[in-house]
Amino acid sequence: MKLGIVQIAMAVVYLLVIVGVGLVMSRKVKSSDDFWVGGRSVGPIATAVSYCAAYVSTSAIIGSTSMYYLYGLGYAGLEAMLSVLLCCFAIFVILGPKVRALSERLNVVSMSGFLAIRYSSNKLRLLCGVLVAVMMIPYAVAATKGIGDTINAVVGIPYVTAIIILCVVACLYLITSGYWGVATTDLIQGITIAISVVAVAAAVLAATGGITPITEYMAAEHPLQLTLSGGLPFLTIVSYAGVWPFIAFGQPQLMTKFMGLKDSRTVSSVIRVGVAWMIVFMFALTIIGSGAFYLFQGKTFDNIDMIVPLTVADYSGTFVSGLFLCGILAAGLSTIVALVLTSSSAVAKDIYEDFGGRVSGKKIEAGKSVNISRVITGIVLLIVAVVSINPPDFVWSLSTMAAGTMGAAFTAPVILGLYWKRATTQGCYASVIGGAGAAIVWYMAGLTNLIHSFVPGIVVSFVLMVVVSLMTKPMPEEHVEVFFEPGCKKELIQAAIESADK
Amino acid sequence: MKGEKSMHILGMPISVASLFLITVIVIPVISETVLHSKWWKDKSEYYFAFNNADENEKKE
Repeated sequence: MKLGIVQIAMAVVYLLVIVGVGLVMSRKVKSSDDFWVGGRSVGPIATAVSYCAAYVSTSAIIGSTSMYYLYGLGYAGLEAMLSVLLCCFAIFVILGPKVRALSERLNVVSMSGFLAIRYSSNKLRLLCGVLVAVMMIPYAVAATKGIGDTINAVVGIPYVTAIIILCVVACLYLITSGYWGVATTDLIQGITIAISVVAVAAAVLAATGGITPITEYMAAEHPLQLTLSGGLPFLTIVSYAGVWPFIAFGQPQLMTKFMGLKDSRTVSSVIRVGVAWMIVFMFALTIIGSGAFYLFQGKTFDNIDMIVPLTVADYSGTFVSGLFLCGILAAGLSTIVALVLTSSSAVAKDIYEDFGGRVSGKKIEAGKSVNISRVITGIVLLIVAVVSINPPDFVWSLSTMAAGTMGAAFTAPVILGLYWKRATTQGCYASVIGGAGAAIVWYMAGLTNLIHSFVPGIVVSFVLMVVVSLMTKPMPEEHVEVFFEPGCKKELIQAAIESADK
Repeated sequence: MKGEKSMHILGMPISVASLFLITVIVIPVISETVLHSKWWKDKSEYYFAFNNADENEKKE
């Protein structure tokens, strides 16, 4: 597929806007808190759209749509329903208000920091920090590779050049403005993603003549496309469509979005905007995938990642294909920067500043802390860029394993830490190590063809959390009170924070 | 059975169409019901009080 000068110009203008906004936002960064969680003053609309933009990546626009092409409307409907219900409604209801409230009370900017204080263990901060830092890298590399491949396929720019351009753009606004830049540009990115997929969906519908011609074709020629399973075994549907919405509960880069919120009462607006955004996005992808199936008459593609770019090339005009290119850039960049920021937060804040500071007894001043944060963010971005230039063949399955491992490791400790007073330090260690271990072993044993590694991981994680917690001594009541009672005495809060120093 | 027609919406069988209907109608309705409930209002104020009450503690 080749794009003309107009589409490329649109993409260049878009990237310049993103970089410009990031540079402007850099003036707001005065402290480490500003860098990592936007000073906890990000509005609900920016939070919701930023969250959605970080959750969906190029693999959603290209990969999920290809899956809808292959497996039909039942599969698409299931993924849409679960994504909206779990990723935009349930997760904010369950985690949003309490994570926001506790992150301010305890002055934490990351999931690792929260877990360290909740379970009174500095070593847990190190364990979680290392797990996050390590697992985020393949995840970020896969996202970067995806967008590099797409730009190469759509625009014809060489893969390596595309990677370099992406990483330079990400660097310019991420290193200077941190979370402030990410939250603001994510708002623009999220709007761009939504507009671009809606525009392409409208173009596809114009080409097909509506939804009925699509479904009539499917009913006549490919009836499996109109079944709930699309011909897939149950466990495969669970792995493909069912697992990702659940994985979101344990993703550190998404938890940071709750911490950056203005206050807990704004979660209602976040839910409304998030649900609306995700409905529009998922429906647009469904139309694109099923419409492409009709337009290409169910043709088999050697490379399924080309389905969407070819649909855009053949059935969209100049402006819409330019918008699509901007949407791809937006989806890829927003995910990459969220992952890189989370990984570098794990290294700079959790491991170096918090864990290392407590071990050495030295506190780092605010200005130096921001600079260290920027340097480490730059190093992580450089690692992602270098590995992305020549990524291993199995990077996609590695990134799936990485996301599943983090989901399996952290979901139980976070949810039970928030809502179960009986959760203990030993239970958390068992849950994190057991959950992550089970997911990794399942992947290494080549069993992901049976079901996603997240599933055995999360089962092991929850079971160990509950069983080991019940078998061990409860945590002190005055410590647990900090996580469950409003109006807690500041001495108790300080004691809880200091309990993570050991 | 002769003359029997299965239900379809926009050419989709009801089983498949229901997934989309749940997504676009049922989930938003559930969401608004929850967000307008006393339970949610109390929950939001409860967690807002975590930090408000801490601020009052600091002022004392």
